[in-house]
Amino acid sequence: MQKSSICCKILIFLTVIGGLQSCNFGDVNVNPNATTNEVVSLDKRLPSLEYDFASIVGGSVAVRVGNIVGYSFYKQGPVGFNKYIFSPADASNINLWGDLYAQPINQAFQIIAKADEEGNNFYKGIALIIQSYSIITASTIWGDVPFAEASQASQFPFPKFDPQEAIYAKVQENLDLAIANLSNETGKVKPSVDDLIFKGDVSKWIKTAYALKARYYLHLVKKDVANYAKADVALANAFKSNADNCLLVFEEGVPDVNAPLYNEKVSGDTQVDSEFGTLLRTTLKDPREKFYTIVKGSIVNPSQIRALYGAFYGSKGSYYPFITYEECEFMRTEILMKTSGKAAAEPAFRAAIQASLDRICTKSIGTIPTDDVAVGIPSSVLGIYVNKVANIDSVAEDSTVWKTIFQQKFIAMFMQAEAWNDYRRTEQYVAGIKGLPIIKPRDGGLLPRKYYYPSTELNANPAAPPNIPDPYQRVWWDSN
Amino acid sequence: MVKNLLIVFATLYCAAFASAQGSQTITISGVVIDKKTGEPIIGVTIVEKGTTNGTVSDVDGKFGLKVSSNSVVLAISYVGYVTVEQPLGSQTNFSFSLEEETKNLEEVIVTAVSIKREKRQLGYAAQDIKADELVGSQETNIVNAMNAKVAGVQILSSSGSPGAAARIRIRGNSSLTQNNDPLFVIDGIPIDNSGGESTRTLESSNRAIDINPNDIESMSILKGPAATALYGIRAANGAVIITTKKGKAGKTTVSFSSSWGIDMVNKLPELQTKYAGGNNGDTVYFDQRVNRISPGTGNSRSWGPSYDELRYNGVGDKWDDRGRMVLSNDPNLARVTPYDNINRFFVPALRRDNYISVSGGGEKSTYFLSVGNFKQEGIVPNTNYERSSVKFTGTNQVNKLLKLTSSATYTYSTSDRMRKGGNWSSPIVSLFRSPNDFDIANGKRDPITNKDAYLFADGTQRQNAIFDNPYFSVNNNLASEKIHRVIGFLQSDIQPLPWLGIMARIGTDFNHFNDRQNYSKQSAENHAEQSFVGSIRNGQTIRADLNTDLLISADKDISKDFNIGLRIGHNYWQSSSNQLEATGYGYTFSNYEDLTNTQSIETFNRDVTRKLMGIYSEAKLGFRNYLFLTGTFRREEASTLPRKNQSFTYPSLSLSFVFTDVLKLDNNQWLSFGKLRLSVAQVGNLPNPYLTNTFYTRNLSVPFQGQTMYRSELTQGNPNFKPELSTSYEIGTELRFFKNRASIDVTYYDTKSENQIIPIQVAASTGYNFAQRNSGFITNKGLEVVVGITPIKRDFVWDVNLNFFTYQNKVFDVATNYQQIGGSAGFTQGYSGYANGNNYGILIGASRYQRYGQDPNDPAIRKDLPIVVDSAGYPVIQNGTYIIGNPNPDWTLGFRNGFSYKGFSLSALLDIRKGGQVFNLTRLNMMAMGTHKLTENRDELKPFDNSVNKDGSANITSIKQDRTFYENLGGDFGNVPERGIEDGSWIRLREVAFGYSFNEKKVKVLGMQNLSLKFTGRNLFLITPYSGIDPETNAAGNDPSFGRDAYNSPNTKSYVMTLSALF
Repeated sequence: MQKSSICCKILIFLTVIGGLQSCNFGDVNVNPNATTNEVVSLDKRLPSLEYDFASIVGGSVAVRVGNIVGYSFYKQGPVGFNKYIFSPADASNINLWGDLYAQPINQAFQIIAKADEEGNNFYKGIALIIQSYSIITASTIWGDVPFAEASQASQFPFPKFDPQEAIYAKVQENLDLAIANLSNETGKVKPSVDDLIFKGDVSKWIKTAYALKARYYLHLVKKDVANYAKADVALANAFKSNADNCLLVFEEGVPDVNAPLYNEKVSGDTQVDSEFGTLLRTTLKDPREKFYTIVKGSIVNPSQIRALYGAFYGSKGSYYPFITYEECEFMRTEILMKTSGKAAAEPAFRAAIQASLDRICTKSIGTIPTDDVAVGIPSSVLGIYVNKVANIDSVAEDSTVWKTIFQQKFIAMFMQAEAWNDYRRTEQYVAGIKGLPIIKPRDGGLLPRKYYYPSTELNANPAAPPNIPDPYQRVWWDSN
Repeated sequence: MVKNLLIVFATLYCAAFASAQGSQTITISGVVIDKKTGEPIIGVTIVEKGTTNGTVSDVDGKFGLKVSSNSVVLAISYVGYVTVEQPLGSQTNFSFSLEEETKNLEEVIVTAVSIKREKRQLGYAAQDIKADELVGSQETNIVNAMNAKVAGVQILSSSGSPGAAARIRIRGNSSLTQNNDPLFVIDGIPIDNSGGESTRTLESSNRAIDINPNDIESMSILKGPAATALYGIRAANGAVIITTKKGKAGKTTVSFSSSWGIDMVNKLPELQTKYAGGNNGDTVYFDQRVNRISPGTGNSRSWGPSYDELRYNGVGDKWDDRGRMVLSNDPNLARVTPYDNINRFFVPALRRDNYISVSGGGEKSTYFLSVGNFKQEGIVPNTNYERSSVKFTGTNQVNKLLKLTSSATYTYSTSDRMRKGGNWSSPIVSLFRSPNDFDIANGKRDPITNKDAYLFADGTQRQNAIFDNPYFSVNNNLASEKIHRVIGFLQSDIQPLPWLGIMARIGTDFNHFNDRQNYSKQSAENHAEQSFVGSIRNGQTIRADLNTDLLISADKDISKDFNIGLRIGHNYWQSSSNQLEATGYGYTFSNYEDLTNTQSIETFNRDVTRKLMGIYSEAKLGFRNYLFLTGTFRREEASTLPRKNQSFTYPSLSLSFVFTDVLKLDNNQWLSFGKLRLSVAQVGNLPNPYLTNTFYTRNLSVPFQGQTMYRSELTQGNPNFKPELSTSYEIGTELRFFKNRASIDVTYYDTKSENQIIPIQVAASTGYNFAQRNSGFITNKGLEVVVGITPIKRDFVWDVNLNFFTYQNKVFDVATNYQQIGGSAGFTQGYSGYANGNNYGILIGASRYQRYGQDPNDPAIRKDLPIVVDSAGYPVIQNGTYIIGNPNPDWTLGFRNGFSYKGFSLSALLDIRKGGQVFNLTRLNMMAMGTHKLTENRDELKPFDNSVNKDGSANITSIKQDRTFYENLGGDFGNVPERGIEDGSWIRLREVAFGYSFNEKKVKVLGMQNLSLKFTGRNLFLITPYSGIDPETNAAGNDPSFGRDAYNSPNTKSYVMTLSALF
């Protein structure tokens, strides 16, 4: 055999190897089951933002803040929560921070950026409102939080924390900007069914923006009483009836897509605080009780009672309210109490309670035919309860009136984080009684006024301030 | 791809080229026989020395050959015989009688890319397992069959369910989030061993289970990166090299074996038998007895009255023939005694394994054909695993230069699995958690098949409390799997010169996986409060891997003293899989369990493609057959890396020094062999696909209010990834004493794996929760000791083998501590994760008891300090992140003793594990439910164990450890996870086998060459401080996380009888 022919054969192989070396794996690593920022249009982003917003504000925020103010009770999970034993580490585990920042706040930033690019004022307006709501939610929990530099990972890998005062100012500005954008009817394509909350009815979004402006002015009343007047002005353009309520309805029949409290009910992780249940059932005989909670277990042995979330919020297809007409009336009640006295405030208070009862108790939500929840209670019947509790003008003591007002607001706004804000900002109203009187801290302890920053954020962000030493520090607007 | 096929064609083309032969003139012939027996020898190589001209002897030992002149020298060689050289001269007919080589054959081991090497040349540790050790273990899963047989290898089976997954790690873990599995290679083709992660609802198998152990000829374990350098990245965590059986030239042989056996549950937790169902001893439960059956309202706990206080009222109902339980001491009424549901439910399960192979060959070709069928039933009724396989391997010496080998194995396996713990329909949860005053069998003798045991006349379920009746579940909610798999290759070997070889090979591993998971309409997982009533999931995954190799090897003695070996290779691998799943929710009709009967269907689709190309070379320099220096170099190009960093290179260097040869100690009475090994090697590890970019994905897989919606992923991709890089140093020695009667092999390794690819937690305010980064490193240090002694070697032979392994596997410098690794398997109260300066896989929990004098920032659980109690005498809880346990064992030891006398053989393999903590969530749950034996002291009043008051003074406040305690501060629903940590040490008799080989002369009458009978026992005893089931189980299956028991399925012990015959 010729040596040259062997060499020739080896050469052939080496050529083949050489050919393979130029292999280019360029696009192999592009995920075929996902897409990119450029592709995803605004009408596919908005429903995602709204859905996540509802799931988080109506889920983890509601349950966590609800645990502090006494709406909800941890059945499973760290046992110390019910005694307000928190730590920076469990702040991470619960991940409220991550949920808010990575979902609604971040998605809103992205929609605003895309809407700016495309010049779409409507999407921008809606995203600004949801972003404002989310960032204030974060600020009421932690005080100073990142905003100006948030959600711009490549530019600001370590977002700085803005003072709460600046955040409130910026949010009022943003809400005005949102109103301006939404009011510009000459603008680009309006959202329609992709707007899960109002189906593209921008007038309701504008009302929502005004209602939020009022709410956020009232947050600051400890700092400046001028905020009552500002809130009052905003309220003039806010909701006029329950038909205006800003809420998201979860869809029944879609597997694994449920109202957040339904999931809580099924998993049994949290349930309705039994003190709250007792307040409604025994003390007030409140018609909302059967709608808010179902009592399961042994009547004979009260320690075994399980107060699950009731069908109203705890069904697969329940809705979560972000802000409602009744809250506007409660805000008006508070402003009138403060500025004109209880006689002036009573009609607003009456309207607030009636709106709450109408919203919650008049529709059938149950399955047991004999139950109120199955048929709903007529509005007229509910009026009896309204008459019983709303007659504040005839009550002598202002402190009692304040208690009644905030007790009713507390009940109406079941599982909304606003209750904690009310607790912190209204302690001034009732002299001698610390805090909102109807919230009784468990085990005789003190109600936390602020939450630990999660250690995940502190560890990963050198721009973060040092953590609070205990949860009794106050946010900026909580101190005079 | 096309280019790769070219390789094969090029090979064949060259082969055709090479077949042109020079002119040959003299024809010679002859026969080769064994000098001792006089029998002809088949397959002996007869070559014209210094050329490639040659032939092999046929079945009768005969050969014929044409040679060029009568001045040539013939070389006659055969493995195991002394080579004979014969000058041709004028003779044309020869009779060669070969003498068996008396010197011990140098041990040969299959190393990377199927290269056979004398063990003495290796500068790194490698260990092999003999085929009978694998088959003899009677394990379904080839991974389990390796258990306790190789130092440095850790196997953890996930449970005793048929077809359960097993997890294998060689020298610990080198990656936090990427692959830690060794590479499995069969006859040179890397195969897929993915799968086996178990979830909250189901266990699955790792795909190495598709290998029929009967087909295996030998298995070698390459432990460190020096050993696997030529495989590169895919073998970054070691390699399991499997060589299957091939045909041999000569008479056709038929081998047959048949095993029959029985599996039984080997260990169960202890249940209390003093208290019936109920709440804190009250009677309410009994008044509401019927209510507890209604979903959601029932009470499933065992905190009721003592059985001593209860009588049956004698009025039988559909719940119990003996009537309702009443609080009474009326002597006329029958006493209530607990039912032993748990021991009754687990049944002895049958297994059988039948295997037949036919092999043989002629002058130019050989063949091997096998058919096997294995079937195993589960100790849980109606569960099973079955594997059938057909294998063919053929070789053909096309001409003097070209040899072709082709092989194809088809495996079809099926299994029916029960619902796993943590699931409402799980028999395990139901059995361990439900009160034992309820007879799950309803007094029936045949509850598995008799519907009256688990269904009422109206078709509703007769369930205990809120879980499915276990008999209902195993009849209605099984999940099934079907896998079709084909592994095959075509290989050509060309030998243009005696010292030069070229190998080209193309191979595939193709599998089609189908699973079906059903919850029938009445099952508890469809609890009225759950989101659907009945569901079915039908999933399919098709995965196709293609592997091509081209290897050019040259091996030549360049002088009397020096030998040089050179190899250049090319490897291309591509894997693509497509997963499609449809899940239907909400059955319209009962007993029509199909997607078309559901109200809403959700779909899932996942496609993954990976490509990898390597070019490598190896140079080996040998000096006087006692000093060997080997260097390798590999350049890798990988599709999962960012485009700009797609290729990278890494080297290895190893040295083997047989010092006894230099010291001329060959005939030393005491030390017969001594070798020193040294190596240093690097290897990369890759990111998973699609981590280099940030993508947008669908939010919710189903439309919501008619809208499909999209959002950004929450983990930021990294366009600047570098591969993980391990650098490993290894030193070892192998010593043999007393003429090889005793040997010891010791290896120490030290590996540092840098640039860990992890999703680090970033400031969520950036809009992402995680970002993919290179961060931190892992160190692995370990000591492996293998000892072999033959104390007696006469007619009676006694062999002792010992494999010892100890290691430290620690994590450093990662950007974020306490992150989770692997799946949660349905519970997160304690997870497996990492923290700087701590062991890989430590167990982490979110709360603990406050201990007196401990710094609150110290994350450890200081069991040496007393627990602080509050004024009521109850322990005080702290929330945070704490290291509650370490699942890594201190050391493991496999210890085998084998005895043989004439036809008899006996061997026993002891497996000892020291340390390795397990989080026993099962026990914690059972205590909260009041079913665990430890809750029998529920009425006892005493101060909390090992506790002090807040001021440090002795705690004398007595408390009851009752239901309220366990559900809250007792933390026994997992809330205080440290209470679940237990020592998972064990001593077990992993295998014991007694065999008899019938006298060869006697069986010859039956036409047999060999006939043997063997009895094997698996796991016959287990000594462990662990209170639950066998601690050798893993909630998450074949998963990075380990050391958790959450209603894991129990393990088994087996008795098996095997008959094998060779014709």
